Formats: sequence, C-alpha cells, structure tokens
Amino acid sequence: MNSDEQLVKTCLQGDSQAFEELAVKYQNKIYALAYRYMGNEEDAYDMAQEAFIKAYRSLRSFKGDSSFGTWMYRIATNVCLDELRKRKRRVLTLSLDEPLATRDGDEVEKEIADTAPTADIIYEQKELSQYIQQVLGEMKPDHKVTIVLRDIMDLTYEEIAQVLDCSIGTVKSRLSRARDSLRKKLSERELLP
Amino acid sequence: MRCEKVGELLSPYLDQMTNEKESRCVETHIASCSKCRSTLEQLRKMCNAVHDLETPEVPETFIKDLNKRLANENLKYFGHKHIKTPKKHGWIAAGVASVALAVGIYASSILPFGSMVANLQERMDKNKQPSSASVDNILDNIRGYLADKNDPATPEVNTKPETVDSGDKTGKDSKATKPGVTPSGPGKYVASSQPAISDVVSTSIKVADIGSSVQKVMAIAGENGGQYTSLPAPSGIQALSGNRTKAVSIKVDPENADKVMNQLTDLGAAATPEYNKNDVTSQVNEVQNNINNIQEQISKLEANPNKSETDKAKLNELNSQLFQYNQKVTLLKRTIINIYLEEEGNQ
Repeated sequence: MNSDEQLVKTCLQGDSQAFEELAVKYQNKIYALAYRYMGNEEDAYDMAQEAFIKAYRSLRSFKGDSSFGTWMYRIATNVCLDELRKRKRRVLTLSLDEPLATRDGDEVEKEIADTAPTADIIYEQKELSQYIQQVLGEMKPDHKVTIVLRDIMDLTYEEIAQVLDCSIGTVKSRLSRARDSLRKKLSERELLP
Repeated sequence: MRCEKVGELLSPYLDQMTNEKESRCVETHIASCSKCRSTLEQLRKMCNAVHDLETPEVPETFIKDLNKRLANENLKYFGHKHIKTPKKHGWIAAGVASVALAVGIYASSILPFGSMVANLQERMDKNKQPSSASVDNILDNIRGYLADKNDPATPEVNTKPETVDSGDKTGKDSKATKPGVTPSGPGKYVASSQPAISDVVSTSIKVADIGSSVQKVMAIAGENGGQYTSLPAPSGIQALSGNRTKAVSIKVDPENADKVMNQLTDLGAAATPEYNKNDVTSQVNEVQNNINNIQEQISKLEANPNKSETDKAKLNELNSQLFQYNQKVTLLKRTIINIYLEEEGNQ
C-alpha cells in the first residue's frame, strides 16, 4: 500500500488530518488543472476547492484501481467540465483591457492579432503562449481536456484513459485530433514556422 | 503509406505510443515527405510550448479555506459502525430531539399526559436510560399507550418506514411492522437457518428548501432503482429552531446504499449517519414459505408428461408468482435509508 492509499485508509477510519495531508500534496496539481480548464484564477480556486470537497465526500468509493492522484484528476476534470457546461459559454476569452503578466513579471497589454499578422511581430514566446491559452479556451471540452492532461499535466495515456473513463485508443485519437486542431490554428497565425 | 494515414500517427509517435510497425511506417514516410516532417516538427514545438505555459501557484490560503469549508459543511466521514446488538429503529441527528418534543406536546394535547409520563418514567427506570429520553422511547411509549387504549380516534404516530409495497393489497403490508413480530396470515412458518437482516441507515440533513430537496431525494431513489417513501408525521411539526422539517425514506439494494448516501450529501450538511439492523427474518420466512409451496406445485405439474392446457396455464401463473415472491425477498433485504430534512431558517 503506498502512502496515498495509507492516508486514504487512515481518513476512512475517521482521521481528517490524513485528508488534509492529501490535499496539501495535490493542491498545486489540482489547482493547475482547474486553471487550465477554467482560464482564470478565481474560478480555478473555486473549482479546485470543490474537487477536494467532492473527493472527501466520496472517499469511500476510492478503491485503489488507479492512483489517488489520477482519481483526483478525474474528480477535478468532472467538476470543471460540469461547471463549463453549466455556464454554456466559452471560457478564457481574455479581456483586452486586462494586462497580461509575462515571465519577466512585466505587464503588457494584450493584443489580438489582426487578420494579417506578420511573423516578426507576433512570433515571440509570450505571444505564442498567450495565443495557445486563448485557443485552448475556445476548444471543445473533450479536446481541451486531453491536451491539458497530456501536454500540461504530463499524464500517461493510461492515466488519461482512467481519468476520462475511456480506452487508450480513444485517448490516442482524441489527443491526435485535439493537437492537430491546435496546430492548425497556430499555423494559420504563422506561430509555428 | 499516405500522408493522411501518417498524419494520424504523428501524435502518438511523438509520445512513443506507436507500435514497432507504425513507428517504422512514420519514419520511412517522413524521410521522404517534407510536409509530414514539418507537421511533426510543428507538433513537437507546439507540445513544448503548451507544456511551458505558466500556471500561477496555488494561493497560500487554499488549505485553510478548504478546512473551513469542510468544517462549515459539518461533514463527518461516513464510516461503518458495527452495532454489536441489534437496536430498534432510531432517528439520530440534532433535529430528532425537537421532533420528540413536538410529538410529546402534540400527543399530550389529546392524551392524558400524566399517564404517558408515568409510563415513560417506568420504562426509563427499567432501561436505566439517561434523563433525556431518546425519541425511540417516547414514540414507543406513545405507540404502546395507544395500543393499550385501542382508541380508533387517536392518530397513529408512525415514523417507521412502510413495509415493502409489492402490490399486495391484503392490508398486512400497508402498516409499519415491528421488526421480529410475525404478521398474522395463512400458512405455516418455517424457521430459516440464517437470520435475514437488512441495514437501516438514519441521518439528518440541513437543506435550503425542503420542497426541492424532496424532489432530489426522489430523483436519487429513481436513479438507483430504489423506492422513495414519505414518512408520515404529525402535522405542524417543527424543529425547536422553528424550521420546517420533513422525514423521508429510500429503500435500495445494499450495493447501491453507499452511492445513495454520497449523493444525499449534495443536498446539504449531513450529520453522521447511524447504522442499525432490521431483522426481517420472519417476513422473509413467510415469503420463503410461499416460495416453497409454489415450487412444490411447479414440480408436481412439471413431472406430468401429459399436461393439459389448464395445467400449462397454471404452470405459467405459478412461475410468475414465484418470480414475484423472489423479488419480494430481494425487496425485504433492501437497505433502508431514513432521512430527516430540516430547512435552514433565516437565523
């Protein structure tokens, strides 16, 4: 039994401190996942909290078929997708007036490229990141989820299959289509020479 | 291999998720196809860029806020409780004492209060209960008093779930039966070698609105193949806090009980549930007795190689009855989940 399973078992016996340990261990990853799904910090915070509360309530259903981390990703994914469906709108439509923090800590005003961008203006890593974030936010949920789980959270195909409750074959094809869709959009903007 | 086919393999190839044959196909193709080679390179660059997207750190207040939320929701862990001796049905939760008080007040308006208190005191002394009597004792005493008086005018104080409604309209299933008491009826009873026990779980939940919460409980029952029952209570009962209350029950197959309990937590803050056992041995024995009789008749009919049309029709009818009785046994062994809903007031 690994340490996570031991903590789950301890929590099942009534020790809520054990759950806090699990929450401390996974808070960063779950928050990061929620941030990628929701596109802003406030929603990410709420959804991450919600995911942990749901996990606490349904801890007895954790059978150890997957790792606790994968199980948490699954809960967080479902929480975020449910919320996105409820809102029925595309998230991560960035406000043009809201400045964007760069890696250096400076803030730059965001610009959405015009219809005929030139590569030398927009081909910088920060613009690429900005545009990737924007396109990710506009993607279909199942495409976005696979890219986030694989390319950001570094889950294996098997783990993604467990999170999404589908086959590895489905993960392969979904991820392939999602990446191709993203690649084409970036390519149109000449962000991927 | 054509570009279209290779295109589908580029993504798994990047992740080393292609088999040997597929990998060879990709490598052979891109060696001579600059377009697909470029696509692969774009994919690689894109995945790296996605991977390098910055994510803000989780705020320091996260765990503190989480603990606060869990504490505010008054969540306790649903753990198994092993009851060494079977208890009678019981209601557990903060609001239960208010029900007891309200029932006592209501009943005292129509019953000689002195007799009831004396009866209660006698029981308490006998059972060495603490001075604050449990709801069970109060309700049992009221029932006992009413049964002794045999007064048809007095209302039935009944918070026990109704027995299984299998469509049997003989009447004996329409009232709550005390566990262990054999209902009267035809047929001899064969004692089972093993007792039949069903679980009874009781909890209370604080909800924002009782009406919508009841709808949700009904939906949860439906989703899990369970049976919803509204439990009758004297009208006008309110918790001491003045909030509206409602008692309901769900009967589900034991394997769905945990799932139902988890779904119920979405209604609101739930108190720690109490687990009890319901001895349904006598009811199961009665049904089993009927099953045995029917099987005997079926065997006799099937042994006859020259069955008439009447015999065949009879056989069909007996098989149908057998199926229903077997269903009844399953229903008797269902887990009963009693839920006391209390509407949160504006306090």
